[in-house]
Amino acid sequence: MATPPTPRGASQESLLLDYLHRLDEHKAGRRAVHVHVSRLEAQNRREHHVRMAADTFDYLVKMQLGQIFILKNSDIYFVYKGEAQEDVETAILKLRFLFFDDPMLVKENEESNQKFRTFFNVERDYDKMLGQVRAMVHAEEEREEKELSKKSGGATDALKPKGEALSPRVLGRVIQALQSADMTNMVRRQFTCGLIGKATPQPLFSELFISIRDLRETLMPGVDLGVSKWLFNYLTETLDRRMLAMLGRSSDQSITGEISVNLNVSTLLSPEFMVFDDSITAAMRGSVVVELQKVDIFSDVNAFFFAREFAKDRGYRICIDGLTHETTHFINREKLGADLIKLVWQKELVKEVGERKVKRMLKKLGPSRVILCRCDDEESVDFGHEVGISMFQGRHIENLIAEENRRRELEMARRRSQNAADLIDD
Amino acid sequence: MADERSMIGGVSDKRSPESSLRDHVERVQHSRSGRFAVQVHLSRLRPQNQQDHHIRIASRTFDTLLAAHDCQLYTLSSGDLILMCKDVRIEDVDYVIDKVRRLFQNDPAAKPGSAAGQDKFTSWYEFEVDYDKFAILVKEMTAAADKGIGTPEDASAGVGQGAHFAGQALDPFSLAKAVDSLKGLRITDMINRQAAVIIGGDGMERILFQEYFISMGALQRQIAPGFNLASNTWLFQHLTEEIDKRLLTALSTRDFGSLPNTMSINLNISTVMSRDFRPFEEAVAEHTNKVVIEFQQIDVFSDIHQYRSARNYLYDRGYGVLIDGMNPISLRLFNPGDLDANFFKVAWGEGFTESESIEDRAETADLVESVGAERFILARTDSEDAIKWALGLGIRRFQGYFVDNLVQRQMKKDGGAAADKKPATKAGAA
Repeated sequence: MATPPTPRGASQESLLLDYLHRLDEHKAGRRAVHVHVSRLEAQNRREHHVRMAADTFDYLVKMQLGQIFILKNSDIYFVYKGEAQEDVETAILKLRFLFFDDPMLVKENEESNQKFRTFFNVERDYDKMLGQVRAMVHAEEEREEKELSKKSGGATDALKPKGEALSPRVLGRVIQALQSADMTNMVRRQFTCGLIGKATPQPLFSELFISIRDLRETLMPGVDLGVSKWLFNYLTETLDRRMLAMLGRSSDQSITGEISVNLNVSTLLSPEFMVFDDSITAAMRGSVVVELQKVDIFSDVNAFFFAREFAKDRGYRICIDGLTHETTHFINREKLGADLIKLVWQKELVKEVGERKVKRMLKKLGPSRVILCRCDDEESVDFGHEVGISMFQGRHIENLIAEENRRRELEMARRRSQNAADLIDD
Repeated sequence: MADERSMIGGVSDKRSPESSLRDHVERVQHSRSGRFAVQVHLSRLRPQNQQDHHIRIASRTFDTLLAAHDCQLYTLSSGDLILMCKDVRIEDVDYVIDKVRRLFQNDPAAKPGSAAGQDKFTSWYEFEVDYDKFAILVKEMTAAADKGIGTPEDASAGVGQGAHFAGQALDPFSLAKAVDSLKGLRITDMINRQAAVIIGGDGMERILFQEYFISMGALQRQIAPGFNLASNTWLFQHLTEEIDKRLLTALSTRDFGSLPNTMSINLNISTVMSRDFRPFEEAVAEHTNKVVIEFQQIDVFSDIHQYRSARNYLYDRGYGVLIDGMNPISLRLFNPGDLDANFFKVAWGEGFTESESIEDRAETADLVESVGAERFILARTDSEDAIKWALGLGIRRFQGYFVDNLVQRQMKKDGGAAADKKPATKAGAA
């Protein structure tokens, strides 16, 4: 698929190096500040954050008091005339305010200041600055080279896709391709487990989903799905229908048992869902959890209520997916009528939000109904236990299950070999 | 879709469900004992609750009853359901009908009547007594159906929530074409205005702001004739991002210094965070206190983090922020206070008061009080009822057809019509 050529113009790093060289003759009274935006949490480093941060220096640039460089890693490098020192400090203060909820800046002390920005006196620190910037240029060149060789090698990184943006037309083509694509091998499952203390994880149900990474690689290499959240949601409606069709006609034993599927409210009301509903037995409906996205509730509250009543009446259980600590306190679980709630694990729950606040939040939601999801490491489970959560989902849980399976296999092998040994002894 | 509304569990042919029902009624003329029929008046629900999927799902609710008893269900062209029963316990039927009521719990037409004979949602016909009456009714319905009358009229659905314009559903390719034609469209002429006002004890006090918006009806005719732009939530949302760009470009030529009233515009959060917002900001210059940016509730909840960034960005520069797209039912679900916006716009819908219990009302009142009544605006105010509902909660800020008249009268009185010569009414879109 066609990828727009990226202009291989000079990077900001090399422009900065160039600028520093030219400054050699005019060092007196010049200062510089390096703002380490790259040290902030990923969610604070999105394009608009960096733009907003850079804007803070806008008027100083306009007044010709300084020159700004936005580096590849989102860091900001501002070289300015000494007379603007106070303005620059004010700008930094504004930036701190902008990112006030970032863990690095939560504490207002010199340590966090040091981490956030580095001031230079150009006359005094010239050589040091040159050295650092040279290293940056070098690193940037290396990175670019790697990327190029990666591209020619044909490897694509599903998490950081580059290339064609998901436009309505691209979406239309993808959906056409989906009609005839065999998607059975793109279905993944991930368990939600009961996990108490150090006991072995007890699988409660498994979520079946279509791997977006696989889908991207097979059907739309080079398409950037992240650019339009609305079009992506539309794509999920199509995926919903494919998933239901697969589940409905599946005689595959692996798809039985307690399962959950993530659906749009609109899908729940569609003829395709009726067909699925007809194809499974009443008893099986009780073992199906329908997961609905929080944004879908707010797109049409009325439709949500209607769909919920219908699904519950048929015997399905309802889980609200994608809640974060920021959204949970807007939501009244009881009024939503949800059986389960999925709370997204985020590191900030530990420090910035804190145990006490999370406990209070859980009390409102009913801790026994909350699943902590996207648990990637042990810390998430430890924290969950601290606050009284006993259901978990995520890569870490998958690892625990795999470990448990391995342990059991080994144990079984040991027993069997013992049997054999006993037989020989006899 | 014709097949969707035919008889369930019976022979389907090209005849209307009404005529199949008529045959059934005629067949049992001489064995009336133990037989009765129930009509479920789905056609009395609000238009937005009468879409195909509503009817389909309501009829499915009867599945278990149909499987276990001697009864049949007919879905009429009007959307009404007729259940024909023989020797079925009334309690069993009630049980199912209650389930249907729960599906439509936010619709006053589905409320149970307080006394016998007052239920507007169902009509019961016991054949030993009411056979003749019922047979005549069915004959009339059959005649009407054969003439094509009785098909629900979609036009009235154009007001209120989940508005559905008539037309073919949008798909990605037709959306792509619509976006293309949008790019070449002269949009300035399509910008309408509608005022939000503050109402005091003796009528309108002053204009709070003028909302500048693009009439969706007009736009649909221009860029996607024959299509329904609002048929799919996600595609529609994407379209609004494109509309944002055009609206901002068009508004960037205005002189904000000479604006007589505060301006409000509805934008996506992503738009405010993008380069497209820049030229507009430059045009607004230091007059940011004259501009209110409206965000949709769905956009806010799709990424609260991004909303907070955008809101802080706007607040820092002196803009006002409003959350649009709420309604009295969503107010029962969540507390918007923590979103820390200047205004919350709650869209009025016909019949909210009828579906509102005393507890609901008390909870809403508490909520409005805790967030601050001065932050709420009642939108789509189309009747005295709406105004009464809001005033009772202390809400004094309004927008809607009903208010437009007030504004026009006030402007004539003030002679200020020259500055705002085109007060427009807002289409029921989005």
